[in-house]
Amino acid sequence: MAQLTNNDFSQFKLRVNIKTSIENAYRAWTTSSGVAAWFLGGMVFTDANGVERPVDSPAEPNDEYTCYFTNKPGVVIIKGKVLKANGKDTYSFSFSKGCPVSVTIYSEHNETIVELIESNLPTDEETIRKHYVGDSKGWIFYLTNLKSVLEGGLDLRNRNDDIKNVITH
Amino acid sequence: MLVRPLPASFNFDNGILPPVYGDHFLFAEHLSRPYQCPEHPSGLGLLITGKGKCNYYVNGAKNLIDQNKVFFVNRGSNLAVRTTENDSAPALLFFNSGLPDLVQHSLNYGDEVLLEKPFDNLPYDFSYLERIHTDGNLHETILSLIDFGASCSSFASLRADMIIRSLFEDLLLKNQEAYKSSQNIQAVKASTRLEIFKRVASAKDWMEENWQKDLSLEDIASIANMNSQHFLRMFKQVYLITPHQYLIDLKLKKAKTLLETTVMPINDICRAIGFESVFSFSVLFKNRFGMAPSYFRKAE
Repeated sequence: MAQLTNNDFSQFKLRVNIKTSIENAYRAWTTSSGVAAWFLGGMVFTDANGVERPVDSPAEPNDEYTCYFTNKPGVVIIKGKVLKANGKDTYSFSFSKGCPVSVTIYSEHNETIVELIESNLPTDEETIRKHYVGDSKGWIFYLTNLKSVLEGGLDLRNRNDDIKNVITH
Repeated sequence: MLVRPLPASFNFDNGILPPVYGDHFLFAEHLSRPYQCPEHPSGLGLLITGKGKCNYYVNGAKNLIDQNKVFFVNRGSNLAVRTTENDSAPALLFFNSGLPDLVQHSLNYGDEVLLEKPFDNLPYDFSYLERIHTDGNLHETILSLIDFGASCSSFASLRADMIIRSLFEDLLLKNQEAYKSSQNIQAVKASTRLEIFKRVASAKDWMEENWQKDLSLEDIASIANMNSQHFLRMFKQVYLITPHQYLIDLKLKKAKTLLETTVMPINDICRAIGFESVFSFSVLFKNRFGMAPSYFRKAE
């Protein structure tokens, strides 16, 4: 995992290279249909008036999102807010503890890089254990799944609810 | 949520104020020895045992907890823990001390306003729930949280936190309902209303657990430590129906479940829920659910 600075537990950065277009990667983050293909149990975006966005309509700043448990439709795992969405290659949203997660998408050596930074994490010991470690582990699997889905269509999420305690769940 | 083994003492700073939890803490351990923790001011939490029996002393009163039982402890109550068995698994889930504010605020001012104003004058007083609850689902949910502590599942902490939050929202709403029900009791002192409510609610829980037995009013009243006529009046004041009507309702709901989920003949269902007359059962069922059992099954 790349660190922004040594021993900086207030943020972490993860990058994944994907053989897809920047547009596809952006859509995978900002539309309900795109997110459903690779992340947790999917996500619903609602606009500032509380109206649910159509599944293919990209999220916009100040939208709220509701994210669901894998394999448990309707059971909420987290709610948050879209902080930035430029319609092209930059997207950020509040995540655990309300900390911002920023996603930047750009080209590098003929591939698309998705770069994720989760920042503003409190640096007390408990938060480091729970959020710095827990969230970065979670994102590592889901960024891998994003790569898999966008490159080959294979979804790595565990669909067998009887199997617990696996990184794919 | 953070999972920790049982501490020797919960008196983190002193023995006067309840501990302030900056996160949800689940203290859980499988013990092969007796365990005891001296009396101390408690945080807001749920006390169970995953195995064997455990005594939780709350404000001096002994509460024996075993399978499917959950004790809800209020913030500031004096709690002591004692197990004498060599094979038990006490588990104490204490909520983040900031959670009541957070949940109350979001329930009151969030997108979905679930609570009404009357509760505002009694913020975060969970005295109404502070007793033993027989709730297998709640017991299982708390036990399942132990696994999250060591889970390598992605975003396991987020999942655990959301489960706890959802569980807490349910409790908050139950407490609000309990508060409203207790206001029906015609007693001058609030402490009297609370005590009567707790006793009547415990008897109601016991009925839900023992509905299939042949229960008399005296049996039920004895759970509440009241004489039968006083209990009858109090139960009716709290829940606006008599214990007998409530018992019938429990049986009819069970019959409805059996009709929905099994192919048992109606005569057998009638006997299974403790009715002797199929005719009486059918009439009562129709009054309660709008159609006779046979039509209900066909509609299903």
